[in-house]
Amino acid sequence: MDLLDDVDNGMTSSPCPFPTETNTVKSGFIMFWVFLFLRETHAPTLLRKEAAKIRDAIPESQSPLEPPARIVATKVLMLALVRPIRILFISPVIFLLYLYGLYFNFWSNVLFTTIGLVFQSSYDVSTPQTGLTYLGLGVGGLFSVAIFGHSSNWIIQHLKARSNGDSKAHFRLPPLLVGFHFASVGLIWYGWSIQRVAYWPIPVCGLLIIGFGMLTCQVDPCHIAIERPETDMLSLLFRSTLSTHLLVTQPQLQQQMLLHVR
Amino acid sequence: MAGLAGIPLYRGIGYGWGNTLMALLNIVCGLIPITLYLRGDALQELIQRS
Repeated sequence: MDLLDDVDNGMTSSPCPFPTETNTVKSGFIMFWVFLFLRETHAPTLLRKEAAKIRDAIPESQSPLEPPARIVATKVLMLALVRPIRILFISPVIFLLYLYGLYFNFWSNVLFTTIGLVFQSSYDVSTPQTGLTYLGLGVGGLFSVAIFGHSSNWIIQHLKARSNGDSKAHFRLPPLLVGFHFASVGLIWYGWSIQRVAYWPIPVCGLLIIGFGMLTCQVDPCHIAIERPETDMLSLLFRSTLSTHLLVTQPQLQQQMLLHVR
Repeated sequence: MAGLAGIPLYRGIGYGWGNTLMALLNIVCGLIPITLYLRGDALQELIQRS
């Protein structure tokens, strides 16, 4: 655990070859391309475009449609902010799921930000090499997408048929119920194999199981968001952007904070 | 900020127990979606009645 002590003292023995600036530039670059290829799925915007198209097609004198109302940006923003927050505290179901999501984000963030340090402190690997250990998580995630991406719809159809065609939001939950077990088993596997400094593929296998469970848990809130889009989209957006930036700035932040504490 | 807890956690009780603690808490928190799945309908009714 020498390396952990070093970080605690505010200095790393092996400096990260990619500083924060590089990471920020990279994430900005990716974000740019994502926005370029992202499909517009915001229902009101789509409807507005559709209405505009119809309005243009018929001559103005015969048009039964009212002219478009002016969109006030502050109103849209307030609506987008207030409504999800209200539902979060009014609906106990959403609030409970939010609590679960909170803990999920806690442990996944702890894991993500420490894998590199953990491997460097237990095994004789360099910083760039520890990046390869994330492949374990990635491959596990791929398995999860391959299995639950395909079976998710089937599960819902099956449950729907069983309850006489009634569709409920909690029909989206079964993959999560499987996923968090895998994640827990994977965490124990990973932790103890690192502790005993086992042959390196063994903790990476643990990471594979964690990755499988993690993505299975994560796909689910997205699906629930489809069922109740207004409640979850904002939190998903917040969560993803916040956690990404926390990941990027984490080592520096950690050093700063620990320096101030001492 | 969650990531900040990682290093003190691992330093305190080691990798094995640190990760086991996270896994056990994960199972405890997993009771929430299990309850929602099994008793989701009853909960919804309870809320609507009150």
